[in-house]
Amino acid sequence: MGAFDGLDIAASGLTAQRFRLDVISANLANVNTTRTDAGEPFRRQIVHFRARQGKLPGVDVFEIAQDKTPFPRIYDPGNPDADEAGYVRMPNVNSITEMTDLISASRSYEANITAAGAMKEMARKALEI
Amino acid sequence: MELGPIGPLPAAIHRPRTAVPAAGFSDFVDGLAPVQGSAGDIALPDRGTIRLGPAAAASARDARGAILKPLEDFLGEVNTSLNNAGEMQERLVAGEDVDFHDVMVASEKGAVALQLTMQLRNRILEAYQEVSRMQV
Repeated sequence: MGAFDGLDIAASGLTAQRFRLDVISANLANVNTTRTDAGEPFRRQIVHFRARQGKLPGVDVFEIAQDKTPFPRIYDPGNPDADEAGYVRMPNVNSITEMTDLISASRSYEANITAAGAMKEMARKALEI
Repeated sequence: MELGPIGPLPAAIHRPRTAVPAAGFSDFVDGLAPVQGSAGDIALPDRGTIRLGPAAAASARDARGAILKPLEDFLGEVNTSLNNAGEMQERLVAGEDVDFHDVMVASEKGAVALQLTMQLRNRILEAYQEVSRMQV
């Protein structure tokens, strides 16, 4: 039914922004993680979106990319992950950046909710004719 | 009184002349294509029989199909939509990994589709009552 395309498009945006929120949460949760399976500190993850291919527009999660920014080094000789000089490589996660991204994702989610709500209202109003 | 053959009539003209039963919509639609009697004659209570040509009877049957088929298709779609919403809700309460907004969108689709069905039903019933009140 073509009448619900708008809802499906808004739903794709909701799914995408919710996924982005998940990734941001993972970044925030690992803001102090100095050890991962890869043998290095946690690397910040970035969600890449792509416009949906095909007839119905919308958005899809394209990939989760790794932030290539170098790890900041802090002096913390007591840390078990410190090198011989006493420096520890910390995750390249900046909690301020993550918080602004979080707000952005939250607001984008709300925007998609508003779009879906408008679509719903239009359908209901049309049924009142 | 016997009217002569009046040949094929446009559906819009001969439809209201059918003897409309008071039972229900499906009977009404059945009445559009009278199959009893010979070659689509239409019996009127007070005016005898209108003889319709075979083409008129066939077009009446076509009209019935033209009304009912899309309606059945649409009801099938509405049903699918409602089933989908119910299934999503079941999966959510069963603890599966379902996004809330997907459940809500599916429910909303089902609700709007059902409302549209009710409005269509109202319109069809209105049309039926309009026809059943018509003076012949």
